[in-house]
Amino acid sequence: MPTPENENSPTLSDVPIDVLEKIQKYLESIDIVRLRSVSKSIQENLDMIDQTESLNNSELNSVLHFAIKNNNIEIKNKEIPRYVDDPEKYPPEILNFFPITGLRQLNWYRPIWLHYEDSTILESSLNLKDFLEDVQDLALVDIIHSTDPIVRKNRLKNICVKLRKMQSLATFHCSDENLTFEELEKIVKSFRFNPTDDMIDPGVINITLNGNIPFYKKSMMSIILDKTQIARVVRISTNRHIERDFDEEDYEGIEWFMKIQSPNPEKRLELSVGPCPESVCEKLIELSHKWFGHGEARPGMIEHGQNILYLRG
Amino acid sequence: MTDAAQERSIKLLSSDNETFQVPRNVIRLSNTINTLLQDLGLDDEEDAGDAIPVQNVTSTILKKVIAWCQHHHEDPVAADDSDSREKRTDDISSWDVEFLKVDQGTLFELILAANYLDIKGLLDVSCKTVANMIKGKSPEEIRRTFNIKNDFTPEEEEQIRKENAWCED
Repeated sequence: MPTPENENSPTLSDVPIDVLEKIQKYLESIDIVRLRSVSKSIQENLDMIDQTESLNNSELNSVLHFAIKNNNIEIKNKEIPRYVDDPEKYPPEILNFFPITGLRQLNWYRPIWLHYEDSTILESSLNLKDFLEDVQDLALVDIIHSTDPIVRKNRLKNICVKLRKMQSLATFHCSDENLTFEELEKIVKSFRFNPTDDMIDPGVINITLNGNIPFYKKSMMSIILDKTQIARVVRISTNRHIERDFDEEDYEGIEWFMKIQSPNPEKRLELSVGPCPESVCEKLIELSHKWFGHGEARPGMIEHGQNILYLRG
Repeated sequence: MTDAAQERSIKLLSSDNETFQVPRNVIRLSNTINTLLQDLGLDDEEDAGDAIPVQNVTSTILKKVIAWCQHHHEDPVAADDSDSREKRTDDISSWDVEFLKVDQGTLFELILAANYLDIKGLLDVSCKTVANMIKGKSPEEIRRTFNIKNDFTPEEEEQIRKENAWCED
């Protein structure tokens, strides 16, 4: 490996910003974080590169601004060059999700969730940050999705680095059924946004662990979040996306969740219930009164038929 | 560019006044020189005239830059750089690995020269080499590797350490 020659030789801190930017592009996110800690001048130069990168996204932002003002606009591949040119990585249903579901959620119930299939897309999604900031408290998101431990570790680190940069991130959404407590803890620690007064729902960490993730696991994760200084509100969902009654096992799981949550009065606690009959809501409110002395329901995303139950706070 | 122009040579003058005769089709890898010749209307001339001064590049470095161009001048033209392209650093050819086995001062002089002369291939490969020297190292190891002074105060350093604790194993 080349070694320093003498003090007058140029070194890493002497290269112009465009060269540093080029070097940075060959580095993993974690290496960039460490490089940032090397010296003030390098830190300043990397900050400038970050700002420039944001500006480079103006084309994408303008497309999305247009989309958001015209709710029926579909973003098609040709309108977002470079980000969506790989249909395997960016399938149509994902593209469609943003202008349709995303805009609806924006109107009714911030934040937006954007769904991406893997963390290579996360890179693109987080480039939406500037755009998202215009509509305040928004949200992004990751899905780690891989069973390869090395891949998971690298993706997790990249996600954490990206989340770390975001100042207005309000929601973490994950549908990775393999998410571990340790991974979640790392993700949570990487949040450092500053909730502002004009946020509709400030500081929500919304764990929407979809699909196959067992409810008990979500409950445990909610406790981890509850203990953090970051989440003002912890909201979990019951995974009920079909309209049917709950069975005894469902109620037992939820009651267990309430029981373990009841000694923790610090944070507001919400339970997001998918489309379900009114009788289910009533039963859950009854359970909430039992464990928290309080409980009320508010219709959430009407189109999704979802109810948010305020259990505490 | 005509065939005749391809075959001719041009002269480059280093910052320490050494002149180098370089085949035109070798130095074509430098976009800076290409643009200069085109702007001056000299690209198709038999005699490009006086030596072109290459400021900030010493004869030692210019000699190496020319050697690199000499080796790579028949390489296919690289596709335009794109952010979406995979950013591998383990694909440096063995010739380039040997070529870049130099002291660090020379490596960075080469990077600066490649940047100034806009020689994309040389800049890429030398930046990859530097990236490989950074990867997996702690801030202190990076400082030692590149002889960089830590100009953070102990308080600032402690703050950074705390802020970055989340991403360390």
